[in-house]
Amino acid sequence: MSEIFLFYLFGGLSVLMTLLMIFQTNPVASAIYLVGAFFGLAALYVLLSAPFVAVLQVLVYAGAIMVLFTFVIMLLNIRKEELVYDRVTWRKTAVVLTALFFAGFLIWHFLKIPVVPFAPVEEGFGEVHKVGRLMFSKYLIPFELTSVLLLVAIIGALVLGKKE
Amino acid sequence: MIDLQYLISLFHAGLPIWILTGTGLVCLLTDGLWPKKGGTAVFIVGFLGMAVALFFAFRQWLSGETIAQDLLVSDKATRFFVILVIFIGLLHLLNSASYFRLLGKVSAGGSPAGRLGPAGRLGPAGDMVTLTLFAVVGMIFLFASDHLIVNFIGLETMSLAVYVMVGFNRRDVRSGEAAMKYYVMGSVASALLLYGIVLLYGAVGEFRLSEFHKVAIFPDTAFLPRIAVVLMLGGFFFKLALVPFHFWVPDVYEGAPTPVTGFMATGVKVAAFALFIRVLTALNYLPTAVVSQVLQICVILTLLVGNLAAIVQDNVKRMLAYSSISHAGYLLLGLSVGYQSGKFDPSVSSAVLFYLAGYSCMTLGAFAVLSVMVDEKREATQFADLTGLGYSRPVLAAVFSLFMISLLGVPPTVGFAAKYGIFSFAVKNGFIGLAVLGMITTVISAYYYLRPLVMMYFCGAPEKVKGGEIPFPLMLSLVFCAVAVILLGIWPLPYIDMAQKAATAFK
Repeated sequence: MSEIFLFYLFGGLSVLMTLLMIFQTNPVASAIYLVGAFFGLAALYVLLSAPFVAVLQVLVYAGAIMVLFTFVIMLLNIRKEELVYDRVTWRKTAVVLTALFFAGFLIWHFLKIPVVPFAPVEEGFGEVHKVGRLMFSKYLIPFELTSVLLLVAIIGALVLGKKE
Repeated sequence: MIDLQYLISLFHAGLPIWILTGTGLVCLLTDGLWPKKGGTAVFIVGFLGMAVALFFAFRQWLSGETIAQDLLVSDKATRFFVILVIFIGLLHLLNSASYFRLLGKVSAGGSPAGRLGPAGRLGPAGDMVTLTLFAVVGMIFLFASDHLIVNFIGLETMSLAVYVMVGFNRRDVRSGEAAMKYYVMGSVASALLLYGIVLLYGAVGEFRLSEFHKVAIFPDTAFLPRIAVVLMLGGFFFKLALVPFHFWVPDVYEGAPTPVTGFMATGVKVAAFALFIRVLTALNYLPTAVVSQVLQICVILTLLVGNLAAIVQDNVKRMLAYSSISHAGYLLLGLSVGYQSGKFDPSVSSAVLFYLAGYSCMTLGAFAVLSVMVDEKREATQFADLTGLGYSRPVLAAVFSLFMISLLGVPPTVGFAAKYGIFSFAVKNGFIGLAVLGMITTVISAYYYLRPLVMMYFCGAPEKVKGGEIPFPLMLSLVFCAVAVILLGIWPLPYIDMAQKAATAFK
């Protein structure tokens, strides 16, 4: 029972924070609310018995990536006059309505799925030890491929950002 | 505890991939160690590495035994596509080797053009070689695994490399704009695909495509695969540049450096089609009956829009962009006729596989010709720039005509053999309407494929000779493409046989 309560608490928190993030005109405030949303998600990972992912979520997303975000915002040097709400146009309304329709469709169908209790997870599930072992044995290929992906990203940033 | 046996079999199963990745790393080092001569050295290293990888890929194909491996499929179909993709990478290396020197610009990866020896003997940009190698690695992982997450990481590796290659020409604003556009749109498409994959996982509890036949779908969650498939199709259609998702194509293809455009039009499409066939085969086990109708509608739209819009273009690169859209339409036609009573039969895709090989040769050849078309340090790819090319550059014009005729699908070129294969499957499986539409749009396409020929031969002499001299690497690529276009056209049987062997491996 308390798990359900916690799920709704943190799930609601992330949704609320995400909405607040979208409706801010100040990008720094948006970034802060995004941190809040990430914390809510991290709590949800804990509830799913994946504490390692939760820690990574806080460390990497709420920590490292958000620092980068705020750096970029600072470098953009946006003036106050530019921080206004977008005009409402027909096109944007149509986009938002489509998105809402799709979201409603998904939610409506999801609510119809009966709740089935999952089988209990095995001992040590989601801990660093287990995750690390999986990463270097069963999921070796995607793990190494991800490092190639990051390498490509670094080369790309260098190529596009280097002085001529 | 590391399982040595597992690592050894993994090594054998993916040998070409490991060679390519290693070569990419060596290229990075070479670029850093010899910054002055970097470009040429990196090019040689990259070219040799790719050639070795191609050799091993071919040996794997000939050996025939499939090595069962977790997360890394190594069957005939995969090997066919590995060979094809490495070929495309090699040709792209040759095409792009001297492009930046022709433009007379500073290459983003190396030193300024003038500083390296006499008469601007600047080699290729080193980073372009490295990015090409990693892009090919990404392409291989995009289809060489039946695990959707591995496929997705492969897709992202390929896409990131290609985004950067599109923006490589930093002196040109259009190149940067194209890169930005491609990046934003591509990220949306990747997000769609990923969301689809995740929903599919939520529905069936399985990432492995080869395990889909074991899963049971409960009526409560039957809607999930449908939504997931819609989202995944959206992602695929974007990468394949099919019509409701084609708006980015002309601008990006025009803005990107010409050799890169050729790479995008062939490599990205080939890899995406390979995974698409795998996914369609796996979807047979899910209740997704409408996929074939969606594909057919998409074929009709793509053929009409792609061919009609190509008519009104006045830039050859833009025209070829729309032409690549319509060719994706013919390829999708080849897949959509594989549906018999709601089930996809992958053996039909042999025609598509052969078409992909032929299409890659002629498109890369056409873009290789366009890579030479440079005038006063700018790309000269307007139709008007082709005026009188048949008299000032007879060989170049003749080769370009060959590729145009092949894209149109006139015998004895490969374009004819490929289209014939697709249409004959369409008629055999009872899709007469689609086959007729394909033939009509082929006739329409004659207008814009023959227009460069008219400009080159029948519009008088040119005011000035445009285009640089043909560098040696590019000449190699031109000769290869031209020979392949004719050889696959007059003697296609061994290659069709290869495609059939590969297609039957999908299951």
